[in-house]
Amino acid sequence: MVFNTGAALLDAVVLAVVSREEEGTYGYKITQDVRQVLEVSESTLYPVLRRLKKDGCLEVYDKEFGGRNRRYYKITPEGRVQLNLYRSEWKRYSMRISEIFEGGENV
Amino acid sequence: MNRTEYLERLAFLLQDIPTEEREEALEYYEDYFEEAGPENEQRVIEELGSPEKIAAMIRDSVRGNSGEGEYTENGYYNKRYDDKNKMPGKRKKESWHFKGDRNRNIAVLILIVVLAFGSAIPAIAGAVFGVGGGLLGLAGGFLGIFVGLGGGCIGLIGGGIGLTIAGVVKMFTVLPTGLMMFGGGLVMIAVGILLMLFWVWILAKILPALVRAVVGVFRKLFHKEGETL
Repeated sequence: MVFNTGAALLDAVVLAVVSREEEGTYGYKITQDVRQVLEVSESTLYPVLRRLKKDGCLEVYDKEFGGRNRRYYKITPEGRVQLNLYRSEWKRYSMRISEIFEGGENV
Repeated sequence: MNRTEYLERLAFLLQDIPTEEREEALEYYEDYFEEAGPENEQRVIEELGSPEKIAAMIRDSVRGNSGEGEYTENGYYNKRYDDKNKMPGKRKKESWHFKGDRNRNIAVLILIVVLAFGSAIPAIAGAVFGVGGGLLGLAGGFLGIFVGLGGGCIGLIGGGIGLTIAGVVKMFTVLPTGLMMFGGGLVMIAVGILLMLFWVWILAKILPALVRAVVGVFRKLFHKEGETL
């Protein structure tokens, strides 16, 4: 991808990926899902998940899977509010860019 | 490097962050390896990058200054993790080591040299006189030993004569004591005579040589100084 992804956009994508699963999802799966849309390194996600958890946007719980504990990440109500903010911001931002690129008209 | 080594290295590098944070991070990456499966172990290690890089990212995140990085097309990028930026370039070597104007520096340098020499002359003179004084003191010491030796042998001979005479007198009253005193007196006289011989030898041989040596050294020193001044 030619365009760099800022920290806020990565936060938004991670929140969106996690919010798709009602029961929450785990680190490896989040990484793979995010990597389907953004070219980020596998090492990138841990600091992001850690920060979102600390900010109260995500919560974690452990569930037994295959004889061991798997840590699940789940979106919180605060996280949903934040995600909705990101969504509307993105809509405005992408619309303006698209208009410039495709419409050629002044907004 | 395998998974165990990788995680051990990471644990070692994260020693400076709080225990809870460290354990959580290590659990995450352990889980990550577990989910990826053993067949993907090497690929994951390559993808994650060096433990040093991961540790730096976690540390930054824990300390709350993760805003510097950017997620570029090549993944997360923070110029502080870039090896190319770690070492500053070698500075150009300067030919002149002093700061400031060159001409002024030369003048200062000349002044320093002149001052050094100016203070060196009294220092040299002091050293010469010091050495001379030391030699003179040494000579005086020898003279003192010589005089003392002379006095010592005079005393020994005198005392010996006295003791011998006293012994002879004592022999008439208490014979053993008198004999002892007489013998002791004779021994004292003998030692006195020996010392006198030694003294005469010093007077004849050593003393003139010593005086000659001291005078010679002084003559040499003053002669030399007269040349430099």
